[in-house]
Amino acid sequence: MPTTAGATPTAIATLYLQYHQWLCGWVYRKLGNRAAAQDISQDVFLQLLDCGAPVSVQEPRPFLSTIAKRLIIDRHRRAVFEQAYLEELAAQGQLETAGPEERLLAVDLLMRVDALLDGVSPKARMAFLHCQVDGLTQEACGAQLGVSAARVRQYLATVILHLHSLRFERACS
Amino acid sequence: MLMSSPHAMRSDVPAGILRQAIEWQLNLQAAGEQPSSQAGFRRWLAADAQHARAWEEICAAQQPFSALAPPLRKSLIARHRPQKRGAKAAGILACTLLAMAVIGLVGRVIPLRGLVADYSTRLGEGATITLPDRSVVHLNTRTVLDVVYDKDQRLLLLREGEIALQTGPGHDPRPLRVRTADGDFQALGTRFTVRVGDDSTKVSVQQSAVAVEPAEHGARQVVNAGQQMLVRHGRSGPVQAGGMQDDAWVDGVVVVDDRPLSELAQELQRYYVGHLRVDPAIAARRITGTFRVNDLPATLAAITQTLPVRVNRIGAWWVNIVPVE
Repeated sequence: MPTTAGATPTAIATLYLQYHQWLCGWVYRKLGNRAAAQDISQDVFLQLLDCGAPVSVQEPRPFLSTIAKRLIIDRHRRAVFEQAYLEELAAQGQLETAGPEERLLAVDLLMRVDALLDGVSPKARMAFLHCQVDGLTQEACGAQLGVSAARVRQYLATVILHLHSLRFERACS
Repeated sequence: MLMSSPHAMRSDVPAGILRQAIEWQLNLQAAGEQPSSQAGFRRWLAADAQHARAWEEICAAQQPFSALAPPLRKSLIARHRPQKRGAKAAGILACTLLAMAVIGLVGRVIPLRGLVADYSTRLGEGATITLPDRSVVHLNTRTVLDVVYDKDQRLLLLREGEIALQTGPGHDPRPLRVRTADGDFQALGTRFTVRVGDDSTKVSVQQSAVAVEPAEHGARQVVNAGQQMLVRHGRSGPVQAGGMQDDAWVDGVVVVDDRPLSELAQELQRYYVGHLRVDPAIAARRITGTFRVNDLPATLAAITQTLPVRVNRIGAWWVNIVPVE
């Protein structure tokens, strides 16, 4: 195994020996699933090795549980997308045609696209998804969200400007 | 608040115009396919280059969503809507996205001048017309042509795009000319192509000869079979050898002989609605062959067999040709 300076694999190994069991227990209490708890705590240490960031040994528990929490959220998001995607494939009778690799790529893509809407308010996000992605009319979308069509337009304009700002660097104006 | 990604492109479109573009998008969506609002939109789009730029940018910004395949799109919404909704909007979805697609790309797909011209083709389309003197004109992708036949002349006004002209068999005393912003191209019993670019017109002669009269500067010159000339800003360029294959598109192909891959991609882009990108690392690779212009998947497959490249497709509107690692 390569020993990268700063990655401190020995420090991580020490952490692993001391806290792996504790972390498994912590994740298990969150998820109620032993296999998932094993996977996630394993991933926490893999991430530490991967990123090579200096490890804070003063407060290892909050440090490890913070990473675990993020992985749990990612895993949850992924599972939701996977489920939704599989259901949609099944509904269209295409479950067999999409291989595991294709499914993986599809879920990756979904997570990336979804992340573009991070930082957008929940209502604006729903308005955008309803109108621009699902094709509802602005009126129908307003009825769903309990707001006026004019408000829906404001939401949509905000989200489109947000997406524009992600894609394009603008001079001050 | 998210910051711009490190790969963000620069945008110089004023915020006000950006907002106008967004307003238009929302208006068009609200109005559906009403011709009146579409006409207004086209006027706005044509009024200023910044308008078209703003429109392209807001479409590009939403491209990650519009390019999602339908099952993915539904999955994306399902995540934010845990409770099942009874009514399905699949029909509306398809219609709106299709309308968006057509309207969103109106400048590139439907030539803007085509709305009033005698003959026009959309992107990827071709057409063949037979004129009263039995001359045959083929229109290539995105072409706009007006035909003026009177007692003194036979005039073809080529506004945009490209035509291949085969003159009729009989003798006709009226001169037959193709006119573009760059000049007149008079047929001397012949087969030739005329292609209008942003600031120039290219004529290539496959049979007999064509007399070129530049609009701004230069003497009348004859271009013979197997020769070509570029007239830029109405000024004639030198007569050069080549251009015998410039009418290959009539048969649905493009012929390239030891040309850069980027040039072939530019040529294919003329027929393809989406964005066709070649990685700069391989743009200069030379390629030789005959490629179909209206069957992009087959053409891309042929390119990957010829060169060490592979193709990344993201949705229907984005094709990226990259080196094989």
